[in-house]
Amino acid sequence: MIDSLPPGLLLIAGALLLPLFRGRLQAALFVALPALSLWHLSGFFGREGVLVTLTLFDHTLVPLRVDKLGLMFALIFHVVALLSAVYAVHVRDTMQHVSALIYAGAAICATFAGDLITLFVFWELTAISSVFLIWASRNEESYRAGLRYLIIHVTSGLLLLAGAIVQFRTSGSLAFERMELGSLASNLIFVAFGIKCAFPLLHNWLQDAYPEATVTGTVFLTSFTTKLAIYVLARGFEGTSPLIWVGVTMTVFPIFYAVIENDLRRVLAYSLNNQLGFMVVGIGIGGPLAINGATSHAFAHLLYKALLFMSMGAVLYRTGTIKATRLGGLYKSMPLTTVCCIVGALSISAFPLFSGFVTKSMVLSAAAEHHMTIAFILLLFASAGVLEHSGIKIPFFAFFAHDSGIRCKEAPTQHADRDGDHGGAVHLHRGLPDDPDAAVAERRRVRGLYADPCADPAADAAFRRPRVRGVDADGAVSERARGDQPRLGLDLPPPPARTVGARRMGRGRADECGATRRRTIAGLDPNRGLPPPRPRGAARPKLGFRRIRLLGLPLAPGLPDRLLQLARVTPEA
Amino acid sequence: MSDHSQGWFDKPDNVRWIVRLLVAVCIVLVGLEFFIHKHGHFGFEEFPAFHALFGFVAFTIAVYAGKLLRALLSRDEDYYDR
Repeated sequence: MIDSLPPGLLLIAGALLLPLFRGRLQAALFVALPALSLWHLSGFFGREGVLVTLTLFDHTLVPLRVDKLGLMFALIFHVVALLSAVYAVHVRDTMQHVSALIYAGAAICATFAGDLITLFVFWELTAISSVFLIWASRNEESYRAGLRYLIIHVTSGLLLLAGAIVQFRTSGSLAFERMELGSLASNLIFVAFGIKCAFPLLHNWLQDAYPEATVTGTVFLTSFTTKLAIYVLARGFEGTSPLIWVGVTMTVFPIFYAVIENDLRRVLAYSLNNQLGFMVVGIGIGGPLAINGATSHAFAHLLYKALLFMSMGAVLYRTGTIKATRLGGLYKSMPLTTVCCIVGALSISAFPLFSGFVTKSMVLSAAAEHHMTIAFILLLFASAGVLEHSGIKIPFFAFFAHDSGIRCKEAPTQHADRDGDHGGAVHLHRGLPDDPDAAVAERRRVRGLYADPCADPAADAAFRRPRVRGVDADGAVSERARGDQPRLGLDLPPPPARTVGARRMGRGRADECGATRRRTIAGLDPNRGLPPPRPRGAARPKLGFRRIRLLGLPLAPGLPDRLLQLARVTPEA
Repeated sequence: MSDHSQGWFDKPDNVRWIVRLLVAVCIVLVGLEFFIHKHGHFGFEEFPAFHALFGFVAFTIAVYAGKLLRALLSRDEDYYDR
């Protein structure tokens, strides 16, 4: 029976059981499920072919078609899901765990889809499950970015469905095989794939939404959606020559955005776009060397990109900021994270002896063997650009550069974190600490947002030295900086001069930590965006209550509005 | 935790040694290109020090394009929140 179950379904089914558990049991299950699913997958190696068919309304669906290309992607999806689960296991947020596992499971199931309808189902499931990882940040920015992300991805799904229907009406087949561009059906499907693959001008959702997700959620997000798109392109449009130029454009243009971006996780999002370009070029060239290059580049890329996002997540978690202009000198505080980040940076820069060197060279060699001089030169330029923004900018600004004065702890090991590392904070389920600051820090921590550095006097001192113009989300400090507001009579830092660093920032938003600290000083509620705490000694909500609020969301009509109420901040008086 | 001690990379002497080492490695690698046949796919790849020069030019373009784009595109941190 289990032999005919598509790999990935175990993850989805297990994820639905997660809300029934809590605490350590839930955490253990969260890590055990990808491992179990990996074991399940191992049974499919060497069993290629159509293994399962379903009949639905006289149509034959193929939910389990096994071949080498799909197995390769399913394998690396499993490995990354397992590593990301270990990275996220300390997070006490059922919603994030459930959506992460469903998301990973859906992406894995999609790699075995033999027909367009099965593909559509899992295609949409990846979109719907992953958006909760963005919303899990529970702030206004992530809510809005998540909605934009959802709209774009549902559009992609609808185009795929439309393409599938047109193909069925014209050819009578729903099979997902190699297609030729030119017919209405294949064009629709091509655009659907292109949206998910972040083709140029269809890419904005990626840099918009990924950096808004939680520390751990971003690691999951960067892994599955775009690589699933690479897989379907490799299967459906191998050797489609327009993809070469689409891919070359994808490798080149994000470089310039990455160079001027200040949010380091957003820099990584641009660099993700650039890396996808190399894979798309490989698919466009076609042939064994290019397709193997694209696939192995996806394989290596998933590992080092996850590592880079994990190390930047650790920095955000510990320091509360991920702005290049605010960080620096962290190699003293976080040596292990520094080493991990440099390993990732060397791999993505295709440094000899690192994985990217082998896989990127395969794509470049394929371009050279087909005598594509201009494409080759542009890819070479893009490789230099990757070294600039991912290989040097990321580790340099975070860990070296000028010393920001931030002194924090090394990224937590899961065990230490669980036993109350971080300022003596204790677990939520043991009750909140009496100190309100510690309580806020703890509640942010268990949700995987990141610790509030204000809890650490040294980090607080670093933040007291204002480096950029006041950017409270309320605008309180900014208005005061403009001088058109009466002084509040508060002990706020003087409005800092506009620094060069502030001018250099690309798009961005208020730094939550600074905002939290200023709100605390101003006597406002630093707790905005989080649901009200349960009073000490109050009874735990009954099971029925929990069931209605499955996944942390109230199952009621008008869900987005309710979610907005949960996530958004009520304006303070 | 709040030590403000000097790290290894804060000492200018150490940084100077790293830079010297890198320059030496670069010189050796470029020097070797004159003696080793590279089997490039294209004619221009056979040109000695092609990759070193190309990398330098590409890097410079990326950095200076960044300067230009910053002047055109950069916004305050809270620009989109206002």
